[in-house]
Amino acid sequence: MLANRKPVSTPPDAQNQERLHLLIETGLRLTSERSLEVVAQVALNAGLELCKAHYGVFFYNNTETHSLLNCRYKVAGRDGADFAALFHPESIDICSLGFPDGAIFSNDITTEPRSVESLPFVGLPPTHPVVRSYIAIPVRGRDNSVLGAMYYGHPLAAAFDPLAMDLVATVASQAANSIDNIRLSERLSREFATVDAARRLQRQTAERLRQALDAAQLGTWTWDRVSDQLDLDERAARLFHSQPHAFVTHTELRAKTVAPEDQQKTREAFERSVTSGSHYTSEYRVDGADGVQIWVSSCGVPIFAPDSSEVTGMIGTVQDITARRTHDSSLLQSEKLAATGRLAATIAHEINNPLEAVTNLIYLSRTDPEVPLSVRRLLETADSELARVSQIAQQTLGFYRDTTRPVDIDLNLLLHSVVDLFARKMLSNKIVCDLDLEPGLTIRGLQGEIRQVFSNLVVNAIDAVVHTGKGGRINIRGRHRHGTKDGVSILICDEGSGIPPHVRERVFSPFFTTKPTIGTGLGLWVTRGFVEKQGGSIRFRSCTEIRSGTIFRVVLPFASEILPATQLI
Amino acid sequence: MNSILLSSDSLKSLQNAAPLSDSDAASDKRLPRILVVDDEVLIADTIVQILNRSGFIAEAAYGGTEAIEAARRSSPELILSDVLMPKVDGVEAAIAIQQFLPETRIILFSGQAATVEILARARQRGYTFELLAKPLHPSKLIEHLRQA
Repeated sequence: MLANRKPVSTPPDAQNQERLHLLIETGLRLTSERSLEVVAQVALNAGLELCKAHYGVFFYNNTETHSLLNCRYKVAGRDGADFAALFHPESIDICSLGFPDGAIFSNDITTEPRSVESLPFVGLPPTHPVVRSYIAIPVRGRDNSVLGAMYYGHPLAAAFDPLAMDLVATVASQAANSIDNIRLSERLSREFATVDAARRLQRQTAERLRQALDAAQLGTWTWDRVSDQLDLDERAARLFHSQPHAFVTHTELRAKTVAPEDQQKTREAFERSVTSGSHYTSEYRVDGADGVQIWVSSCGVPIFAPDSSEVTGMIGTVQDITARRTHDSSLLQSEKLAATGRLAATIAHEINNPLEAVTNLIYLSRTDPEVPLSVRRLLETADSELARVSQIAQQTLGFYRDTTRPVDIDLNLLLHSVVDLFARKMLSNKIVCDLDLEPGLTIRGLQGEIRQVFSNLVVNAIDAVVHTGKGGRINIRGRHRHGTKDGVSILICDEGSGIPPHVRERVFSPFFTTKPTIGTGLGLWVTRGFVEKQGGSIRFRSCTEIRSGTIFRVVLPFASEILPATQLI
Repeated sequence: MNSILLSSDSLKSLQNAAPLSDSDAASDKRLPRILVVDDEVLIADTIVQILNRSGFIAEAAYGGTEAIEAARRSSPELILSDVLMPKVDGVEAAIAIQQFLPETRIILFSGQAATVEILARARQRGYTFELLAKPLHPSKLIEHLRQA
């Protein structure tokens, strides 16, 4: 049966032609094939066809790593099914034996002496088909490594023609090329995957960094020592009123944006860290283009020259910390306020009682009919001086209580008397005060507090003009006001030096003063308290330019809606 | 020294005192009899003297317990009392007095900032008192006391 299959009838030329065709087709097919399994099967089938074997098997490794687990095989031939049943990767140890180093061709392997020791078919199970003619061809890659092996067998001896081995070797090398290509492309896609993963990780890291910077509102900067150039990212640039990545030197930017009072501090901190190679940290104020000052915190680490302790630059972050600073300072302020409150409470009792006693004693003395007129005059002066002490004690100790009931207050009269009170001070400082008051400016309120409001504002106006050192005018204008809330509007305008922009938002805060030697920092705070208690409002506009000055506007309703809480308890 | 200086006025008793012939007291309206309470003798005595000169009939007490006794004895129409005093303070005394003299007007008079809190406590117990701040000029005090 096997002999019949031998193509004796085909003339050698036609047979060669067929073989050539098959080789070319197989070559083309294998070149374009990307599946290892298909390559093995196609190559095996082609080899079988070319050498006219009865059976064939292609052992190969599924991956580049040689191991039993990775060993796969394909079978071919007409008894292929029987043949296949024999091979389970677990039951053969061909892979551990190793693929043949070189090609083996035998017309009858049963007569080969070496087959006893080393041929793969030794020890085959009894059900294995008979093999006598035998070809084994290793499949070698470009680097000469063995990728697998093709085996063919025939039950008859000398069944293969002499060309058979060369033909199978050609197919094996085609298969090797194809497997090499598959492996290469696998390697490439693995490398691509690695690169992709690395890129993804990089993107994630960058994104996380960006989110962290966003969350912390951190801007970043780098500085080069040689050029002094500072490179700012978008957020950092915004803090310094610059453009991102614009060409700007560190020295120039600091001179332009850092508040004058913090210039030296930041420069020293920076230079210290450049010289010593230590971390840089500094908190300082930055003057905004819009006149609003912000606090920033800047940190950096030095960049060193390779293998040297020489600092070549610095990289760092910058953050807006205005909110924290404001919080800190208001905390400090409220602590200060609380401490002062306790102090005031302690002192109040100690001072107010003797004041009460002395006031009473002077009153008794000066109302005694037996006291001579000259002495009575002196006592009256003492009484009015003491009244001043009492008033100051009550105000500065935060214990001011207007215990009178709300009364009708003639503001025309009140404002004139306030101005009269400071007439001497204004005269000696070349200050002219004009009062332009509509008649009948009368409101109902607490007389003492309203008087305090206007005398505080007039005192501030005088101080502001005195500050310029060249005299000037103060205008006080009073008008009725009709609208949502009927009342009066009083303007107090001075030609003083104006309130600097960075001070403006704090003038109503307690203990804030620009007059450290004479101010308590309570005047405007108390003033606003009284005005608001009365149901009114206080605003101001100020200019520090050439025609400098400040205008305070106090608006008071005709009748206070709020009863003083301390009057009747 | 205080008592010597002021003895002529402060020792007058409310019970048998008649209105003074002082110019301030010339009006027909009878001015209230006043109990002045302060642990600082000088303050209590000077105020009593000032009030007596102004036509009031005033008497001094130098502590909370004394004030309660004096009030029980003489039933004043008005009490002007310091707040911070040792033992029985002004608020406690005022509450005690108000219980047996519900018609008496009680004015507290204090140089202490914490008084406001003390008064809030009194209000929680259902008592409200007027409050005047020390120092207060005598003329203002008289003016205030004359307001019914």
